[in-house]
Amino acid sequence: MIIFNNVTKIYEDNKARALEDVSFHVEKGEFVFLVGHSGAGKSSIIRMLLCEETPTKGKVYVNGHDIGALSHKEIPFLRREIGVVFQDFRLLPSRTVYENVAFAMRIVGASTKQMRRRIPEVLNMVGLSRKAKAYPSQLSGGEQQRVSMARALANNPSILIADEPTGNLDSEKAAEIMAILEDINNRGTTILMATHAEKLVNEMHKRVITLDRGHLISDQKEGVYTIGI
Amino acid sequence: MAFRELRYFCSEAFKSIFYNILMTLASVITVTGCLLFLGFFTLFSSNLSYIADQIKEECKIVAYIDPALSEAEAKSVGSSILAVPNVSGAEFESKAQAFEGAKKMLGSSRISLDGMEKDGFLRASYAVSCKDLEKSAETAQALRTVGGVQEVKEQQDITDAVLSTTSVIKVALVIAMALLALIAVFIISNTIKLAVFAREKEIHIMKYIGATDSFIRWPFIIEGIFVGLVGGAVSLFSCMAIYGGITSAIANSPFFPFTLRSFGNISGTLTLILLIFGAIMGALGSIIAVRRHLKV
Repeated sequence: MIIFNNVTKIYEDNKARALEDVSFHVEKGEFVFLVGHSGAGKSSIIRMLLCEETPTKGKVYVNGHDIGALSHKEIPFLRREIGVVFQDFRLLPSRTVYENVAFAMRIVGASTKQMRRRIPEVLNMVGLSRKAKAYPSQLSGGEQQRVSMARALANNPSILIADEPTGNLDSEKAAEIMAILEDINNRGTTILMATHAEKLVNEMHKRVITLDRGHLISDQKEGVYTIGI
Repeated sequence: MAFRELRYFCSEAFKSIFYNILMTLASVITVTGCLLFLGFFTLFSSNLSYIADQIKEECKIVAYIDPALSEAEAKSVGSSILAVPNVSGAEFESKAQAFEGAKKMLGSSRISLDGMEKDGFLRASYAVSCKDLEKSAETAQALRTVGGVQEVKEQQDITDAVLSTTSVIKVALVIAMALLALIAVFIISNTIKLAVFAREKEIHIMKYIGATDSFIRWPFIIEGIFVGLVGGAVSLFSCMAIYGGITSAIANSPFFPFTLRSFGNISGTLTLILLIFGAIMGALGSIIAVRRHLKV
């Protein structure tokens, strides 16, 4: 599903070595935490998975596609197989919850009928059925993140990438988000989540990949947060 | 593009126009200004050709007939003149008509032609018009070989001047039109850039979700086309009003001996030029404005 084979990433503008010979595989249906300090290389991995960057050395495969070999025109179609959730939610403030989710479906050419069927489903999945007509500004941070998750799930992605999804939330809301992510994972979606939230990682007992200054320093099956310990 | 998508693109484009109404208005006004210039260049160019044709009409070769020939014989030379290549017409003027013309021209001046009718010092002639004015020198040469023709006079200097002036002005017009097009594309592009900037976050989200470049680009292209079309329509009506005023002022002027084309005569071409040009410039401006934001 996701394969990193001896990946090195050197950014051309500042010659920084963001990743150094990193290799790991993520199988279908796995839940993987990506942990490490700022600058450890988590964002570089996510940027490669979203085809924003290509590796300087090595290969990255997502759902069988070599992302270094994809043409500019092929990238959107791979992105449709991946849902993405950001720390800052990235919702459209001028659109309602329903419209924010519909926006993602419209992009892939879904019909109104398909949207009417799917959007209530995903809003129900994230517990926001009653907030469909609300605007993001009328929602709490946790609710906004749930809208962002509903949007990511709208097109049935096989992989969900979550970049610090609980970073802006208190522990109670963060736990709610984690519960929803676990539910999504139980439905068969592969999840890769970058985080600093030590407590959440330790409570989940999922696979933990730890990065430090661009190096993969540990990959534990039912791991714990080890950075700084 | 499916109808569903087109409807969505149009609704997004008009939402953006509505949200940025002041910028859209400013853009329409500047585009109108550019297209107004373009419209007047087109009208000027068209009238230049029209006036050149009128001048060409006047630029005839005069073939003088041997005065020894009788009027009937002189008239018979006409068929030989018409047979010369590049001759499109030949108008006969008898000795008597030439005398009357001279008398009329002199009018009440002190020079009098009274009593000179029978002297026959004026020759019968043919005013020969050419199909292709550029070949008038060769035609004049050919006319000199026609039997019964004593002398041929051509107005080569006038025809040369008309031809060279019109071609220089036409080249200048094409350059001016190209410059105007560039300015208009730049203006539209900057306006759309503001709309793009206002929706930068949205564009980035669209890219992450898997929107294709064309899906992102189309609403902006439609917005640009709309701005171009409105600018085109406003400039067309402005051209019509201003040109109407100019033609009616000129029609009564004793200093302008030519007639101008009526607006109705040229309105079809002008409508096409202004609207198509406006739409193309709008689309181009949008494509340029949005290009940088698609590299995510």
